[in-house]
Amino acid sequence: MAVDLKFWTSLDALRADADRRAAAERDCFAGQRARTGPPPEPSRRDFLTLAGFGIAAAAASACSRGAVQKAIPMLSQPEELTPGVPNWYATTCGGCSAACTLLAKTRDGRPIKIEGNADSVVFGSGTCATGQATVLSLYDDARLKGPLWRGQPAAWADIDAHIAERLAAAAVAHQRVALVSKTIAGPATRRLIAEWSRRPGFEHIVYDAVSVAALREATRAAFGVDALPHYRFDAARVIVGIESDFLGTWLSPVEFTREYAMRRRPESASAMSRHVQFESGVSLTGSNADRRVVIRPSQSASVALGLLRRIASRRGEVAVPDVDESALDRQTLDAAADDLWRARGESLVVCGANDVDTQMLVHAANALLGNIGTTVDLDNVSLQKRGDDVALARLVDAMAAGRVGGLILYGVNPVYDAPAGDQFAAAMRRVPLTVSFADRLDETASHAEFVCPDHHFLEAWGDAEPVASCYSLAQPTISPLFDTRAAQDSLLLWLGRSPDFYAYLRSVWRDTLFHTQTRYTTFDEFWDHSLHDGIYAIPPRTISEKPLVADWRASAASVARSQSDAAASRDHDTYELHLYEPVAVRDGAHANNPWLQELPDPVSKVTWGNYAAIAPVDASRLGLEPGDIVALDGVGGRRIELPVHVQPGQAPKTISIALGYGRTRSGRVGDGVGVNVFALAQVAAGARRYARTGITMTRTGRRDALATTQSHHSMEGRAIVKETTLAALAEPADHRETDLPTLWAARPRGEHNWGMAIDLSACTGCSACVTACQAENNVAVVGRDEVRRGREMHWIRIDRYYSGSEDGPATLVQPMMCQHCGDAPCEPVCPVLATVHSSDGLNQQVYNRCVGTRYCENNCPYKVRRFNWFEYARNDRFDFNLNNPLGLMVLNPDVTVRSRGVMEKCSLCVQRIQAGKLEARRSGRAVDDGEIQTACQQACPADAIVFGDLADPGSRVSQLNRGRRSYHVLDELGTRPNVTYLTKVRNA
Amino acid sequence: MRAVLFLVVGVLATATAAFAARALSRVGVHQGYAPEQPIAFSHALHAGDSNIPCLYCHSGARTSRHAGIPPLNVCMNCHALLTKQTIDIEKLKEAVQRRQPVAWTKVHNLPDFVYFNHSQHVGAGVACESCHGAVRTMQRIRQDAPLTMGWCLDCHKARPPQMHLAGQPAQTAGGAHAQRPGLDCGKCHY
Repeated sequence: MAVDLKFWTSLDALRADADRRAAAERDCFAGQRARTGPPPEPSRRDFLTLAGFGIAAAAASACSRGAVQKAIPMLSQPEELTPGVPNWYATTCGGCSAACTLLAKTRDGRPIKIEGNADSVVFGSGTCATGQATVLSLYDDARLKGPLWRGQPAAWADIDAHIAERLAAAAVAHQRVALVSKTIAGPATRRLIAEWSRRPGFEHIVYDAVSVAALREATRAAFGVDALPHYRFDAARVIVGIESDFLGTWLSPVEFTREYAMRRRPESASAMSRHVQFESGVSLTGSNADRRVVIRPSQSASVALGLLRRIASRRGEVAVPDVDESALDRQTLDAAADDLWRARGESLVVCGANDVDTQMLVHAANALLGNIGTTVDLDNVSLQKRGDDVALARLVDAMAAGRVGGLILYGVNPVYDAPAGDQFAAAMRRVPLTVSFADRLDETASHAEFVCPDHHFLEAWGDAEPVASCYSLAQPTISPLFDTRAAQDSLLLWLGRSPDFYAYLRSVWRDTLFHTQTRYTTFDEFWDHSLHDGIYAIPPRTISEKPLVADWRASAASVARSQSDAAASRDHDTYELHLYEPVAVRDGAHANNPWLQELPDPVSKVTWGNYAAIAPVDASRLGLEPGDIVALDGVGGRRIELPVHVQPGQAPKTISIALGYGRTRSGRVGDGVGVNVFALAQVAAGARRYARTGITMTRTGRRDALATTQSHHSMEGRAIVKETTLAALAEPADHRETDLPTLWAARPRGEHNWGMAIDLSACTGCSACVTACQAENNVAVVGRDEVRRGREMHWIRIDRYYSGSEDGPATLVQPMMCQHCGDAPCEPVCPVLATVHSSDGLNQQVYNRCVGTRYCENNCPYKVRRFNWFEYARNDRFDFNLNNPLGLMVLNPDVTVRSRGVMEKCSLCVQRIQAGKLEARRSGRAVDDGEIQTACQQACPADAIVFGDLADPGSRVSQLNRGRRSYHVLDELGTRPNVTYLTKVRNA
Repeated sequence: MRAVLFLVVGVLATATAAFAARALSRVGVHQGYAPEQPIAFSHALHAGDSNIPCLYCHSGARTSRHAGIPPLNVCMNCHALLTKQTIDIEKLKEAVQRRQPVAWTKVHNLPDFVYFNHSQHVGAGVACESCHGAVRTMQRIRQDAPLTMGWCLDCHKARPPQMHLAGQPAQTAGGAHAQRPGLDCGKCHY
């Protein structure tokens, strides 16, 4: 018992102290009263303590009534529609010009999910992120609800009458009527436009927002084929890409990714390919290359010529023009040419430069290598882009001179994306009749007198022929939501025909395609089956080795001359600009799609806007940090200001900027996001160039922090992504992981043990899985500010790591989602048991139990758990697709929409697992391997994700799990994840 | 004096707590809910006297998660031919003529975070009456069962873990200590 020594100054003080202590022993509130004085009677605290709970209980019990819900059945339910059971319709994507075949999942009469059509031999079952997001663009509230005349709503009948009048007037005055359209993919619309072409004075100009006109022109000159070559990456053992993002955005990325990935697996029957990429900015494709060589954009032609010279000399060709290769890495050119030559006939050179001479050299290289007829198909050509840059320029001149009487714009937005967009707008004012079929009052449609909004492709009939002899149909998956009309219906009506494109489409297919087959004897049978399948392919023409008909030496000489001119005049204090189409928003058509704005760029991981990507050496020389705003001058009198992103691997003295941003009339979500750099694509020698020289870059001193989802690029010495070479893989080695002891008792096993295997050799990082998961699981969009705080909600993310030097790193990607750990660290720490382990191997998240302590997120070593910091639906602060009744239609009814304060994460698509099990049970059988596909697996064009039952030793996922390349991420922590990764293999 | 006060307060508090606990556990439970419907449809007449099978009208229960309220064309299958006329049949025919679907008041409501699939249960041989009660006797449809999770689990715990269909043998769930899959949280909450 300690002696309480108190110092007292007087007896009175001592006695008063004693009194106080005695009082404290009797009265528990005395101590407080001594400090603060007696409380008012009765004290609020006492009252609440006794009565508060009773009041709350009484109030709660009185509030036991919920809101009254209505159940409204249909008036007359069609036979094929059962509420709650999805219906699938085959259609064709309208998200970009590639025209991939799709299956649209509809529930209760509206599409909610996009999948690829597995029956297509061209595209397969995968899609790209943009394709996945098109289902949301259907429910975009920026879409026009009806036709407009001079900016005001008008009736179709009035508009048709006016337009007919003006067209007649233009005919009488012998004035031209021009239709500027996107590449028309399908035979029916092409035939319709051909009918228009019979009108005197009518001109059809095809305009692609991102042009590859030079490639088509070069193919015509070199081989006499007026189309794009159809590239076959699956037949290529060696691929050399020169500034070509063929896995990301160039021509047909879904098809190319599928074919490319087929040859990236060391276990596959065909030999693993080798991919060398020469590029300036780090593209998705370049980040996958076995070897990536940094060049400046102006050097693409020299690289092409350098390869051609080496190949030509091996062929014994003479009189090959010399080129100054001092600025190039001669060793890599030698090695690449060697590889190409050794694999001649099975190699492929592709180039993304929009320059005829460069493309001629590439064609010559492929021809000399004997690739024409194997990897380059000039018989079953690609019809995906047929734009003509020269024709558009001529038209603008004619419009400005007042020589055009009518202008119809179909699927194009030249005021936004043409190099001289302002000129186009000014020229439009000189045209008496301007009509746009745009679905919204976009930058160009705002200048049009009549806006006759076209349907969304999910509401419309159509057809496509992306690759010659491969046809597909598009059908409506929902009645048109608004008072829109198919562009083809409008065109038919103004031709004086019946505005029934469905009937027209059928008649074209009857006339041209029905007789190419013998399987169905009546047209209706043929039509019904084709519509059901979505695709119809006639036997392809035999691929032949078309000879080169032009002398490539002329192009070579021209290139050599221009290269030496450029070298002589090169100002070493300036930068070269490189413009590219980003994977998410593409050419800007999808700027108002929040899923795509929030999709992290596969390489930079930046969302919500574009940036100036510069090399680390340039950043350190200028003292630039990521987010510093720089001013770029020398771009034809304009000054562009953008935040900087320091990109490891970016070519020094080059700046890469993404197109597709800086829209002003796309809608609430897309307007003002990023900067429009389309105007920087100068037209030279009749083609739009996406590269410029002579740019100066200066600091402005201002900052705008980028919304990036990954700023930490190091694995910190842990083997998170494992990489090896093909040679090393051949050596025998022990790849087995040690089985760590565990404190937990063995978990009772159920019938299944769901797991996943992800092949890092096949995964390119395209991020289609990210958007597919978002669509399937009602994942919310949080906006730029929240992404800056690291609060993006994606259940699956693609982590991107760099290895090697800052200037020329190797890039590794890894899709990361909940690993469904056997000994999950998140499960024991939940105070309310909201996260538990199921009997079939899943780590489950029960939203209604979760109270939001976030301990599970803290404990997860993979950091895959996402917390709902806010109510993201029906909240004006997050005014994206979940804040309006139209956008809410995209939600998947089988997945709960999470509320504020609740944790969420990948569930391995438990709704699909349940549906699959139920289907199997209904048929009285066990679940087949591959029957249940998670959304990410289904969307992947590279077939990199495999889901299945680890309890079944014969399943594909079990076999991959036992394979020699398999490993688990952070297995040294003893989490025993059910997700396996297969080591990435490079063919260095 | 204070002791008596505390005793009384303690008894009151316990009573209040007990009352509150009971009341709070009934929040969201609507057993006995029998709202008035726009058309006074009588299950006693149709399912009882006329002996129409449940699945004739609620056909969704066979293949879908929703049993569904029958669309008006199902009603008119019979009523287009029958001559009987009552105020409610008049309302039905009026709705059909005006092409206005009937807005029924939903009786059996589960919260949004619960996933219930009718076809799974119907396919497993669970009779409609086991959850919906003696509907054949109900003049006005009411919620007969509490539809709480505990009530659902009573059945899930009692029945064997795997159901079988069409005479196929029941698949065993892997041993005596196997967790019954019917009790996984993620079966119904996702």
